[in-house]
Amino acid sequence: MSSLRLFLVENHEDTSKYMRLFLEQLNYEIRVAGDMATALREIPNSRYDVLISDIGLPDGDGWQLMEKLGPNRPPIAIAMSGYGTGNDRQKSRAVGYSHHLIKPFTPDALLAALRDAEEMRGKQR
Amino acid sequence: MTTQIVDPCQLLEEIGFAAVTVKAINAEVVAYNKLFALLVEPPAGLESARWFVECVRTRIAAADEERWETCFTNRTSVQVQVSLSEINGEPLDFEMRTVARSNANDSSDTILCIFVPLNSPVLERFFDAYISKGSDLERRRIRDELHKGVSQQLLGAAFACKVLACRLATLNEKLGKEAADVGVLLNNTVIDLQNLMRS
Repeated sequence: MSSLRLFLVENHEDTSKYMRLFLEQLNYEIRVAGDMATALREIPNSRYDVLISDIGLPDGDGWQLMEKLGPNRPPIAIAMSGYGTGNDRQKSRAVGYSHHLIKPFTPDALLAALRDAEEMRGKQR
Repeated sequence: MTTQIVDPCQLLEEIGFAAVTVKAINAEVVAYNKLFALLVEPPAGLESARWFVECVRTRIAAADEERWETCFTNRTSVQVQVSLSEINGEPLDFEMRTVARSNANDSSDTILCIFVPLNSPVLERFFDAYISKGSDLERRRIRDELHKGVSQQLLGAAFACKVLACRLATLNEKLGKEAADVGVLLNNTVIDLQNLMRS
């Protein structure tokens, strides 16, 4: 069983539902929020290892979310976005996302990012 | 060898500009002003329709001035030669095909003048720019639609298929394999769409 605790922020209901089920099948512990306000409320109260967040959110964006979380942000973060311009990737890196997945991505691409996250966490310890 | 004479008005109509008939519609004046702006520097602060007319007046050949003024007043059509030059100074010959006036009391915004360039690549450049702008807008619209709709649904479907394949595999190995194959197909579709959106 993976020991990573994940927090997913995704406002598209079907996507978040099936991503959650997929990751639960792989024994990840996962919590889901559909907007930035919920994420800001819930993340600081619990210790998550990885934040997976959509960049386009109904009440802000994934970059603002990282900035607002400040020291409460999970140690590893993965951004998901429909736009993959160099500028978007740079912004993601600048606010602390280690990966920037461009939608639509394959489940394997997400798993590869999570494997990287596990390695990064191992090194951080 | 025969030389085919292309009617410039017909050409404009084929390209999509309803060029020759007079329509006192400000939007069209603006559209033609854009063409005109390719030729002369617009003076700052002058209202576009007025600038268009003022620029025309000063460039009509002296022999045609009286005819033009008469038609201008009577709201009739006229053809006169107008001497223009491009912004870069290159000379151009333009033919004024139609002049009309729909409001005798206000000449600043009721005149529609249509120019058809003779032996000039300016019109071609204008339409190239026009078409290119339209293509860019359409490309952006399709990309946005793909992002908001198809891409998001495909992402959900790809994960749903993985989940389903795993569940089916515990019940029936063959069905699980078939669902996994659908998952591979979806993955390939995702990759194709990614490539399409980036191209």
